[in-house]
Amino acid sequence: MIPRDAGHERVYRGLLRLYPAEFRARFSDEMVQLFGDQLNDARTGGAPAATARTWLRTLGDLAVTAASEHARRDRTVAHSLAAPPSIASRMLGILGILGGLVLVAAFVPNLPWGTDLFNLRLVLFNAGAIAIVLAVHRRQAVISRRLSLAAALPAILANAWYLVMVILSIGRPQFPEPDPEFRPIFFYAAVALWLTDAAFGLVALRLGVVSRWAALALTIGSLLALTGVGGLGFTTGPFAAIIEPLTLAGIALNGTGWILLGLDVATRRRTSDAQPQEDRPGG
Amino acid sequence: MEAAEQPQRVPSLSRTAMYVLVAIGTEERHGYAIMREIVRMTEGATRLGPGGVYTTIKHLLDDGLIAECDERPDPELDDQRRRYYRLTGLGRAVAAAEVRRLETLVRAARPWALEAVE
Repeated sequence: MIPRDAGHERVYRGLLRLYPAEFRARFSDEMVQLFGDQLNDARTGGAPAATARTWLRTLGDLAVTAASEHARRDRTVAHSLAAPPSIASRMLGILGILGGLVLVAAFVPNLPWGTDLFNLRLVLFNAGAIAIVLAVHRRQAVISRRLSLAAALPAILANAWYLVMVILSIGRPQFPEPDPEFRPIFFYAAVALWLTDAAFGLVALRLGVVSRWAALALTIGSLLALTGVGGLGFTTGPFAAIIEPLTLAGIALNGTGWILLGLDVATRRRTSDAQPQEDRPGG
Repeated sequence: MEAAEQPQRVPSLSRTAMYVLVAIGTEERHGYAIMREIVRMTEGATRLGPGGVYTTIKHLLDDGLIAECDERPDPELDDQRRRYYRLTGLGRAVAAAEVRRLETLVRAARPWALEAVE
């Protein structure tokens, strides 16, 4: 009997990384052993270039079955998204809806608590945004954990930063009174807030796990709202008359985006684009 | 022996899945034995690679058509890493349904299909 060639098996084991991790964890040892058996058979048979032919056949087999296994796993992931939202998702979604509502409510004229509870509304808005980002990330991470986290983490940090700034601003001089120590930091917090919200919306659009309309509203709304940040100078230049309504529309759109995302994570089953395909066993 | 259960809805099997079910048959076989049995019964026409064998085994396991054996047929003579698989009752029933479907098809095609190519 020809001894097993550990070098070939080691290379093949490395190539098994092309399969999904859970598949690899379950079958890699057996697959490596089967590959070694096939190599042994080929060389025992004594046919010329038998090892090379076995490798060629194995590489073709690997390319086709690794791709199909990934596709099948994605269908299984999609199937798992068809489950109803968890209690945690519902709670986070409701908090997000409240946060979006208080932001949009600022556009309703003559609300009795409109001015007095301004800071409380902002705190609730930021807390709601953080809740939604968490809930959406829980869903998106199934598709791409790294990309989702790259968007969710900055959004959470920026909203938390802005929330802290809102709390710290209580009792400090209000605009247009100067506050040179505090206001520049607030400016950066606001820029970070709108930019990270927009980036989060873009990633949500890309991953497509939540409503694309909600993600689009969040993205466009955040970018428009960004133009209203005082330190950027858009609101004082020659285009101020155009920028101001755009900024307000952006803030409203941002709030609407959070509300729609909140409704999505709190209520909606993933069935539209997550319908599992009819599988053929072993197919 | 496990009683063959009747599947509520007989899923259609891919050709590879059917090969694996038939290759296991009434035995308990590991991946390499399944691969060799497929080569034997198809007279060399079908040679599955490790990916083809184990993705199919995984799907059949997931669908409950085969199961991993708890005990190894002869642990003294075999590699400890090998895992053995057997048909479940559902697997036998699905394979039987597929055989009946193929028989019907062959019966319908036999009067003319072979003459056409001969």
